Amino acid sequence: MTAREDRRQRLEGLMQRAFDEVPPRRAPATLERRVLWEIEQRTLRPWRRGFAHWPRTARAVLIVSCCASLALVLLGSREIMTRLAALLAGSGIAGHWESLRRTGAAAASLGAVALEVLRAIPTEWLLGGLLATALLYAAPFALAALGYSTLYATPERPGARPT
Amino acid sequence: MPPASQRPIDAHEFTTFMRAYRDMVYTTAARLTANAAQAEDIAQEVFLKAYESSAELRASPTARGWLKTVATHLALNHLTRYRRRWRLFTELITRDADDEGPSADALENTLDSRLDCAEAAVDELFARTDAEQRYALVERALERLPSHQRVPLVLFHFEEMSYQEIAARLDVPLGKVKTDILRGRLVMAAWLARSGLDAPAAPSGARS
Repeated sequence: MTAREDRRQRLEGLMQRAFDEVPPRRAPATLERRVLWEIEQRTLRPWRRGFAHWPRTARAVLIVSCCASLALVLLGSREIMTRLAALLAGSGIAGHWESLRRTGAAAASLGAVALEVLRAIPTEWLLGGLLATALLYAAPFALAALGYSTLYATPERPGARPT
Repeated sequence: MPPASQRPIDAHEFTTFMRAYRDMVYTTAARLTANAAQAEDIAQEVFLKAYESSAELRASPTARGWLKTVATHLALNHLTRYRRRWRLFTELITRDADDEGPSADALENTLDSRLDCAEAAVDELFARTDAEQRYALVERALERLPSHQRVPLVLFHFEEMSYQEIAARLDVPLGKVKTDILRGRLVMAAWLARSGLDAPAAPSGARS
C-alpha cells in the first residue's frame, strides 16, 4: 500500500469512527400526525377530497361535461338574443332599442380609434413596453427567489442559516 | 377470512409500524438534504408509499431496507429537482464550489501535514466531549458541507454504498465521487479538529 492510500484509509477510518456512533435523529412529532391526516384524506369519498385526488375518469367526465355546458350556454344565449331582438323590433320599445344600438355603435367606434392609436405607436416602443412589463412582473419573483435561496434554503455556502 | 398479511392495515397498526421506523427514515432524508423541513416532507412521502404497500411490508423482514431505499431515492430526486430549480439564481451569486476547491493533488499534499494533527484533535475532541455534544458536532459538520460533498459522503458512510454505486446513482464520474468524498472528509476532519479546540470539556467520565 502506498503512503497516499494509507493516508486516505486513515482518514476514512477516522470519519467512519465519527459517524458510527452517531444515533439516528429524532423525527419531529408532527410527522406522524401529518402522515395519518394524509391517509385519512385518502380514505374519504372522492368528492370530499380535492379535485387532484379524484379518479382520472371522474376528472375527465367533469371536464367534458363542463365544456359541454359551456357550449350549451353560448348557443342558448345566442338563440335567446336573436329571438329577443326580433321581439323588440316589433314592440313599442323599438325606439329604446335603437338608442341602445347607437350606444353600441359609438363604443365600437371608440374601440376602432383606440386600435388606430395603438397601430400608430412604433413597434419598438410596444416591444420595449412589453419587455419592461415582463421585467417588472418577473423582478419580485427573482428577488424573492434570490433572497430565499441566499438567506434560507442554501446550505451550500458557509455561514448559511443552519436548518 | 383473508390471512393477516392480506388484510388491510388499520391506523393503529400502521402507527406502530411508523413509530418503529420514523427516526431512521427521517434521519436518512435529513442527512442527505441537510434541511429539516424538506426531510419531514420526504419522510411523509415515504410513509405514504409504505401505506400503499403495507399489506406486503408489515410482516416483511426487508421493510427496513425498503424504507431506507425509498427515503434515499426520494431525497436524491428532491435534491436534483431543487438544484435544477435554484441553479439560475444561486449560481448568479456564487461560483460552483468545484471551481474554488483545491485540486485532488493539492489536497493530497495538505493531507500529509493535516492528517496527523486532525486525527489527534478529533481524538481529543471525542475524549473531551460527552456523547450528545459529539453527535451534535458531527451532524453540524455534515450539514455545513456543500451538497456535492455531503451527499456522496452520506451515501458512502451511512448507506454503505460503494464508490461505483454512488457514481452510478448520482450520474457523475467515478473520479469526481472519490474527490468529493475525500474533500468532504478532509473538511469535516478539519472542522471537527477546530471544534475540539473550542469545545468545553465534559465532566470526567462523560465519554460514553
